[in-house]
Amino acid sequence: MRETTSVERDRALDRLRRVTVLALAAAGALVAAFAGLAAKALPGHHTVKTTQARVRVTSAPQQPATPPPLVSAQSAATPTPPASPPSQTSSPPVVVSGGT
Amino acid sequence: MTVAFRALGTTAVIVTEDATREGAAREAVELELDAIDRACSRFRPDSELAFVNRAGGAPVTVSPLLLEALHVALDAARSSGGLVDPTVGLALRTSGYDSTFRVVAARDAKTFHATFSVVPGWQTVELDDGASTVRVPDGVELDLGATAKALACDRAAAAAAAVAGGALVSIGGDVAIAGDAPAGGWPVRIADDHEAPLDGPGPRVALGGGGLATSSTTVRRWRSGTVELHHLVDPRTGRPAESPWRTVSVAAGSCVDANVASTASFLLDDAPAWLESRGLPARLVRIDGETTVVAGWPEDSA
Repeated sequence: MRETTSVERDRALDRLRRVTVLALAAAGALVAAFAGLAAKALPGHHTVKTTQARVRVTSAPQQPATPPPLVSAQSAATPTPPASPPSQTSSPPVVVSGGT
Repeated sequence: MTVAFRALGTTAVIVTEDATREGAAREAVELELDAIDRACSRFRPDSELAFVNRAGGAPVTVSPLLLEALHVALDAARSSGGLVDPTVGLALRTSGYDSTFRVVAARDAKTFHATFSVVPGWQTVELDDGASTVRVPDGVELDLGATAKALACDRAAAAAAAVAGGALVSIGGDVAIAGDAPAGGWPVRIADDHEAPLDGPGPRVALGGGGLATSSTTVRRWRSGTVELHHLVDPRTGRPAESPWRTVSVAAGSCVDANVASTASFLLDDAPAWLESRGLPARLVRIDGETTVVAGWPEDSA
């Protein structure tokens, strides 16, 4: 009787272990599922990055972190040419065109 | 007849053929330049532009003139592929160009340390024509120096021509012509510095209309410690442009277009090809003095 009872007890403990493992796995899956649903149903705060000028103070020139976006040179009308190009002249000039 | 006076932190010159209309032409030009200065100056704390730059990201109602100047600046940015960008204001200011150039030039380089900023990009500027408002994000500062002076030149020439029949107006070396021109065109000397003497050596060209602009990195320069800086900021780096050119002169349909092209030329990989493909006559001078002419600009005489 003692041997029979002992075998049955071991089998029962094995079954209990399996049931416990399965129950824990199922509980974990349910927690994950409900967490996902809750996150979708109740969105929290989020951060939107806006374009801001960033200044890096240095004692010597440095390269900024990122360049600004540039558009295609073909995206707008180009500067219009003159009706006629400049011509060479020997007349006394009336003004000087130079850097400011 | 020629009259010259100080305006917009530089020299303005009006040339008309009709001497009897000289006074009226000057009055018309001064009105235009004063209006541009009140609207577009980065150095006047009471200018509309200064108010926009201080608005902390709020929309600001502006005059039709500033709205026009902003449209011109944004058109320049688009047509130059972003190389002529009005949002370089902060980069210019922190690199040392934070006052009229006389003040900047007089600063002690040993105690001044430049700061460099990312240029946020012209796409951050929001214009609402219906509401006459402009908004820039907090921290973005506009500088219309590249285009507002040229716009002033175009407007001033038109105003002078309206009372004098035909006029040439030069502001700091940028030139606009409106109305009738003398036979053979208006003769202009080309130089690195617009304050160079009229009778100095170098090329002279004649213009019948439109605009002419010369950009140069040889004039407005200052120092931060041992580093030498200049006013042509590359929007891609936020730093003074590194260019093979020292001076670029461009003729175009207007002074604004000429200025956009001459400024962009400092930053383009192949400026001569870009100018040639657009039919913009230009003269480009390399750092070492070698000269290139494109699109019908006359060769320098020997």
